[in-house]
Amino acid sequence: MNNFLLLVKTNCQIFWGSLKTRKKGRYAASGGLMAVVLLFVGVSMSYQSIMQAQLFAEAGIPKIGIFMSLLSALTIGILFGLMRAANAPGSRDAEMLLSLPVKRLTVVGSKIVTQYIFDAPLMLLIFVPAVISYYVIGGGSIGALLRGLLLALLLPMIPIALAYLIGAVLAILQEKFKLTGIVTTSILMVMFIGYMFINIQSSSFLGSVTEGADPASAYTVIEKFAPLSWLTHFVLDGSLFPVIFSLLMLFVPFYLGVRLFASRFGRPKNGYHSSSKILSFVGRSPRRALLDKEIKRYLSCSIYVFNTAFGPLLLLVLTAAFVIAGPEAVISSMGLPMEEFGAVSNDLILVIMAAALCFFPAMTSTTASSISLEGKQLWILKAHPIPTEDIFWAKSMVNIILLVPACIVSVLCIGIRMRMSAAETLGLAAVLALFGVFISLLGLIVNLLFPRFDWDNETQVVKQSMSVMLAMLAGFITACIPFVLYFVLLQGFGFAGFLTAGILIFALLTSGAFVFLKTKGKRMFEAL
Amino acid sequence: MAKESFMLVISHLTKTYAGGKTAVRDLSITVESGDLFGFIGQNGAGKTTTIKSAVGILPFESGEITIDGHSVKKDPVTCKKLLAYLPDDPDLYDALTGIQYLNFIADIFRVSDADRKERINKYARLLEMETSLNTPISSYSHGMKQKLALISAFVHQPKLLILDEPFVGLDPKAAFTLKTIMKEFCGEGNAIFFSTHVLEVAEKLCTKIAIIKNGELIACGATDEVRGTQSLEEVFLELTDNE
Repeated sequence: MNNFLLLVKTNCQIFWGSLKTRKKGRYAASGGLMAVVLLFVGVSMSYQSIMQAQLFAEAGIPKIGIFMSLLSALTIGILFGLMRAANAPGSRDAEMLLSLPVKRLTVVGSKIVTQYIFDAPLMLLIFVPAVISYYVIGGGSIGALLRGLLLALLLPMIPIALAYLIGAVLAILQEKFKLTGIVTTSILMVMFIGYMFINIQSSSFLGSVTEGADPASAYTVIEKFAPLSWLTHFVLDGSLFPVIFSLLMLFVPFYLGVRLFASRFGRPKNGYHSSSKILSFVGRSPRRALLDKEIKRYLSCSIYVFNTAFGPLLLLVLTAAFVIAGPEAVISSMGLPMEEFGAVSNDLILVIMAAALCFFPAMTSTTASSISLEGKQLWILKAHPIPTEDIFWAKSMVNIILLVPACIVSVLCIGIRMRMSAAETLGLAAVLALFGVFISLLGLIVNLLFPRFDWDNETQVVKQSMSVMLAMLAGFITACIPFVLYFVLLQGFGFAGFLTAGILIFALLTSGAFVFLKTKGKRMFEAL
Repeated sequence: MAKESFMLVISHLTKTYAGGKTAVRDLSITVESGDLFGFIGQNGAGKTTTIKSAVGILPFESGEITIDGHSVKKDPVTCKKLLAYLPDDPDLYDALTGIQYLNFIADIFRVSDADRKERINKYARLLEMETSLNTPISSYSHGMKQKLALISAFVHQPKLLILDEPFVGLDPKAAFTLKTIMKEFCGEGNAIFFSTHVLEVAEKLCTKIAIIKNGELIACGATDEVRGTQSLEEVFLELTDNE
């Protein structure tokens, strides 16, 4: 095996090996869960593509299917690229690899190919079923099928190029200026919010134009979305200019990104040096010091912020939608058939709204990866006189600080908009707050059960670790409990019944999680 | 000898890892006030395991470790208040600057503002780190991280210092400074227990020495007693080569 393939194989082995924890069963569970997730995405994307292809074929606009799936694949790709940008130039094994008797180009190439291997499956799972569906159902040509499959293989170049380009620019800025991780995170967040805004605007515009439109006017919409239209024509008709533009769009940023990545590979991440001798010696309580350290750690890691700030952000967006558009409109837009409920009671609207709000804390678990993120620095917490309870407290508080203000604003706005009584407003606040605290503690428990300290970069912990996936899954399931209970048993008690059930269930779960952390969780942390 | 003078007592320590490998077997060491205790052994002999067990990082199955009379197993927080530990490769919080890290450690030990200012300034000057403390740790070299970890070890005036290969990564001047600081520290009635591969340093610096091989103690006592008429290097090679 040549050096290049050997390095790619080793990179994949490192990733696979990093799933391995102390117990063999957990290794199998990690691999099994990943396989289930990929299978689930594959099956659901295939089903969606077939349904979409049938729908567009019946409407006489089959080509829109390719356009829409390209949009989805690129959305995911750009998201990957933005999320990885802050870590892009770094690799912990860079110095070791560069010291080996292997060409620099081979080392860098192996890293890029490995990244491609990680990015490609999801983008392929989104785009390939659409291409095949278009060929089978939409009457696409064999040429379109082949070009589509080729484009599917080229699409993962986009997130790689984006991550390397933005990452290199951020790294250069960090060397020149005192740009800490916090500023990097802020820049990426602004870019991300801008991207989301454009994406939402495009989707709503697209939806309004294609709905009920004749084929000719629907297809003209594609032309409004250059450079996406180039890629669409690349697949559909393979005409000269779209093919040239598409290839330029794919290869030029990729080439530039790879050049920048290669030139920076192995350099220290932050070269800024301050020569200021003015030092601050202000003391804080140990708990406050721990919390400050946790907050700095959180804000310094862009991927960590990206992955967890969504919950409160979406909670506020949904609240704004409830307040501005009204709950009925929002609930209808979720796909729930309001008219089938008959005379919809105010209580039912409040229950659905409260249940929807509960889903967002489930998306916000900073704690699910906070122990793993200690990595090789765990010795600091373990070798100093810090009670384990204080460590758990500080880690939970980051999550609570992130969630609680958003929850309070949300409950107050909805309380006023829905003319809820003071008791109902307080009850809803209690449900959300208790659930938020439970999610914080649950994240810690899951991370204690599935710790991972041998990571190469933070993305592996924050996005790809077993503990994060399980904590989110468990959070979603828990969020459903009061809602299901209401529909099965408590409808007669109205919104008050839902709130009572929610408070009792979440209080019980929070107490259980607290007791677990105080006893077994403490022992587990000390044994890490 | 009064019990109070025993800074670190390791009694019949046995540590077996999850894979079944016994890293340390029935090891007993006593470090008294004023001792500058060197712990030497080949790679994989069990030095770091012993040290990590002593500072409360690694749990152990059998035996007992006490710091100034307090059990590491039963009262770990009190023990950690009395000691400072420096690992062989100190990975520190990259997101913080040097001074932020030192303040963090000083906060954990509740060191007053005036005391931390005096101690940080003193050790930063000795280790030539004054101009780097406002810089993010992410841009520090290995040696600078080592120096920062050393300053943090002294910021709360521990009674016992436990150091794992403290001279690795230090430049010659910093190594000399550290040796001076270590002697002064023990001269004030405190104690140091440290591992090293540099036998010349151990021979010149230490008042007591223990040699570990395959997890078992093969020699322990005052440096002159262990060495006898030979050099420490000769004794070490003789003991460790003898199967």
